[in-house]
Amino acid sequence: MKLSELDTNMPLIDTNIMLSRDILAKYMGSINSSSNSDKTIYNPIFFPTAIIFGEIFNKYSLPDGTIHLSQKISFSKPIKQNSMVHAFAKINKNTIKAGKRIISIKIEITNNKKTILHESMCNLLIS
Amino acid sequence: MNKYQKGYKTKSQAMTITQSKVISYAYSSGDINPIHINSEFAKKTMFKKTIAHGMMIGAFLGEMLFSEYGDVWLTSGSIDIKFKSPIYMDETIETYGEVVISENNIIKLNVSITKNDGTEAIKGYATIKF
Repeated sequence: MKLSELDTNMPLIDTNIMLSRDILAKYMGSINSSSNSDKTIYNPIFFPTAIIFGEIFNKYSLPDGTIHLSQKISFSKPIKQNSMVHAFAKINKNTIKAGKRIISIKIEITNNKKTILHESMCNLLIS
Repeated sequence: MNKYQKGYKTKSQAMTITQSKVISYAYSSGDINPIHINSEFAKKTMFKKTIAHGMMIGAFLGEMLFSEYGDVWLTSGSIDIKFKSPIYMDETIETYGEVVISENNIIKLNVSITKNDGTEAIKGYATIKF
């Protein structure tokens, strides 16, 4: 299914995701900061959202030339390394401006008590 | 200067983005959009060359703020950034952060990432409660 064809409020994923230390180590290696993850028990703030994006983009096909326009992340509680979280993502907006489609995706990350840990919003420009 | 005071500038961090790092990021995050990892595909796009993931570049700001504020950043922060210009392979980027508001145990920092040619690639702000 194409992401660009989905309506507002359409759920994209609603699933548990394991933020394993192995994936974190590879992620930190790619951003040249492997030392930082040893200084805390928590995940870096972009990491959970990045993994959830990967899940979304694997599940829904992205049109060629998609551009990530903006990203907002707020976090009320830290997420421990090597922990399971619940990810819920939905289409927040799917609009056309000046002939270009802009899709807004909202992601909520919660723990097993359904407490919101991270919330994020991104805008993608679909050419 | 105290790092929670208005006017404090974070230590900037510079790094060069390489295709191998971008491929490593793509496979660790699962975002394997070919615009980031396939040069033949990228030639057909408006960018003509592969570009780094916005979230990968944004993560450098997260690491800069962690280096300054440690777990305080990870437990009570937020960040709002706009991707203004793509980062191509072998470009060097530098992070920037400055406390612009400090009141009621909350600081707001202007944050950005600039390329070595002076182009601003990412711009936005972060807030931290302490």
